[in-house]
Amino acid sequence: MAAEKGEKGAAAKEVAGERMVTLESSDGEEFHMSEAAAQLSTLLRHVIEGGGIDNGIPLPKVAARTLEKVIMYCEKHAKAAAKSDSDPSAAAGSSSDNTAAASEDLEKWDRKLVNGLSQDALFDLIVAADYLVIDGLLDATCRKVADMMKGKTPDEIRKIFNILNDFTKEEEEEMRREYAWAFDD
Amino acid sequence: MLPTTATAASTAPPPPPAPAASSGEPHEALLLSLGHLRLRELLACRRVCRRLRDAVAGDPLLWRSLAVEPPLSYRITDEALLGLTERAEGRLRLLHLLGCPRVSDAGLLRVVERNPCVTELFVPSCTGLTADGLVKIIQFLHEHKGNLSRIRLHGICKMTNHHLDVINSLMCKSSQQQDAQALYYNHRVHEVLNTEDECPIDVDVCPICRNVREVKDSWSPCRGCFFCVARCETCGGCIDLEELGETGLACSDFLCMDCWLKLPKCCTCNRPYCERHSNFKENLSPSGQFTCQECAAFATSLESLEEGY
Repeated sequence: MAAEKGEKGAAAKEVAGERMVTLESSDGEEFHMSEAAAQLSTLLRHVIEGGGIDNGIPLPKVAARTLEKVIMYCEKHAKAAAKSDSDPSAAAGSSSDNTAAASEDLEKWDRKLVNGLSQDALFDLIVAADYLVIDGLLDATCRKVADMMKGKTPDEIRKIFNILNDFTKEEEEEMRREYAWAFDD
Repeated sequence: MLPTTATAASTAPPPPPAPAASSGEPHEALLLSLGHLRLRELLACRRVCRRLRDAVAGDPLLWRSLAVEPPLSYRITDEALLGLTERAEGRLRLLHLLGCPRVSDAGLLRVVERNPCVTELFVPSCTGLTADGLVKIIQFLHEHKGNLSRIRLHGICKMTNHHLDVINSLMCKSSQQQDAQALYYNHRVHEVLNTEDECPIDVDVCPICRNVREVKDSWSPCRGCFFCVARCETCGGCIDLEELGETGLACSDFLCMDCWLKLPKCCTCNRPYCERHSNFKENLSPSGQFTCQECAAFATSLESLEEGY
């Protein structure tokens, strides 16, 4: 290959002063993402640091509609982090109100992103966040699943997530007896 | 992890993992979420299907952090607690028992004896525990691994400054700044337990009444517990009697003058609601004008009196 290699982050190109990376979803679509945003993914960070790939980073485990959401999350959080870093009063205690408000806003944004997803889309996003190692996104999405399960009985959980009850009657009875103190039935 | 479904060799890129809806098996994402579930939901998941039962039982990491909250708090006994903590296989790190009245000193000591690496022990309002019993437990942890760095004790009966002295001396001080920082007092007794708070201990002796009370960072330098010093609901600053007389609220909370001035007032009696009670506003107009409940009720009773004539 005649292309220059050896430079860190060969997949990173500059766009309007910001270094970008190219990602390819499992269904062949190309996406662009700022390098700062890509740093939120431990996996991508390692790929970029390791010299990257000239024609973009293929992500066979992540479909286009999921990758879109991943990029939205990473860009939003990277911008928020940059904003708080460049805040001159960030070191002083007086701005702790601002940082508290800013992080509350970010949490609200996360919740909105996650609440707008169908169950399938949510699950795909969890798998992608795990694969790409994006802790914040994994947290936000898994918390949504936890909320969906809150207060539900095992049968209700089965209905919500389309799970088959493959226990025998004896097994079910044994399950009921263990930790019976925790439930009403 | 569930393996992705195999596809026939083709030039098309491999499809994303098929959703498990058709097979009746729990989706991979559910297994990844197990670590985020509260205890009650984790126990419920266990009963859903074999795959989830095995995932819950087979991962000791899931059990290294245990938080017992309502409604489980009222049900959990010493035996039940021991059963749960056994799953950590001796590596329990975080133990949060929030308002568990049926857990005794002996029961908690047994758990700690089998899990000496506990770094965080939160037992607020566990009325089955005593100050003496807790000191013994903290002493045990100190003697064995000395890893205990955060405790929450508010609401434990008969805690005196002697107990507190012993406990403070046994606690592993994780950072210097905790010593230098003066301890202030919790101005919001209603606040839900804040697990992010880095302080090693949540109580101290009030210099005014000499009782052991919950403490918290506050803006104000005056030191005194919730009962001894009136504090602003919003900023935590202390409020003197004169200011209290001038900053009346429609709810029963306290505000300092600065915070009082910032809030919208009832258009009849000129008293505001604090932020926590702002949903009690009646006749709320788009411009923000409102009437407080008391004035609204008074107006209604006047109307019904007039109708009687």
